[in-house]
Amino acid sequence: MQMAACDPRRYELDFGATGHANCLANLTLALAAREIEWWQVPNPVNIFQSTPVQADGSFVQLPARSRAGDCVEFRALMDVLVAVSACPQDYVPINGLRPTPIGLEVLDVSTP
Amino acid sequence: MTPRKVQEIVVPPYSGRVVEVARRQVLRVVDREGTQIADLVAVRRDDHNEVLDTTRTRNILGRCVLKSGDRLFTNYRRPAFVIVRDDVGRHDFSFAACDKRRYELDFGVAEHPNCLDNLTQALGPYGFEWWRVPNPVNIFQNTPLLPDGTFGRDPALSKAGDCVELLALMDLVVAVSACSQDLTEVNGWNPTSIGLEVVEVDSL
Repeated sequence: MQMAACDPRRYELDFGATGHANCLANLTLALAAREIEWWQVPNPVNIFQSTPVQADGSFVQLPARSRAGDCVEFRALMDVLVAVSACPQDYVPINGLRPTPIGLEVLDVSTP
Repeated sequence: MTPRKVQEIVVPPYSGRVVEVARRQVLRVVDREGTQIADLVAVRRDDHNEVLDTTRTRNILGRCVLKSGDRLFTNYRRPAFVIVRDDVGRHDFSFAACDKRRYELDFGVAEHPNCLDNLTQALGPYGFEWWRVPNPVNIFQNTPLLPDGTFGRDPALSKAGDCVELLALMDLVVAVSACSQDLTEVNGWNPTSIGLEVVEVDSL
């Protein structure tokens, strides 16, 4: 919860890559039908992202620890619109240098 | 040419004020009486969609502690400020501004003065609604991240007259709130005022 979504400027400035896929564009596109512009997209919760803070306050960028099939479940406490980006970062090892898909399942668990 | 003060205002306790700071000017944020947090937000003067972005600044610096010499970045990952003087060395850029709901939910106090309202009021002439006010840099706020991932909440380390100087790298609208938190010890249980000085240092 400390990191912003990766965005076009991140790839341009840090990797010299223009037009690289990025989470901010993915989230903005996913939310486009609701007319939410890029600067209105909130900072994300980065599920499975392993970038812990060290004792000196610095972050390290480690590969996600999740294995195939691992999941996180969120129970909604209000009606929400949720956008999710499969992080396209393929220049640092946080996605194992190989971005892959994310599954989303909505379950009805309410009982009368 | 010696530095020339072009503007000086006081942010009274429990309130917010706005100043325009041009590129190459220095904004000096002064804790006038000591142990007082200043919540600061900044917006690019000619494009209000470009704002000082604490989250991207953490990412770009690769850490969640600020040091003298650090640049503070916008949501376009452009540098807005560089810290050119820091008398205290303990600030926060992980926390949100305190808001109405914080005082209602955590202290049972309705209508308590709060930094989000202070900043929203200060930015009123620029047409910013509360939900567009960016998360602030909390100058002098002493809430360090601890090894277990929790935050400390200690009184600000600043003494009367301590300041932070920010050299503007673009033309900015800057709003500052004298933090209104008097129900915890972060402001020493006694919210006081903040001084803002805009200083011209360009000799060309």
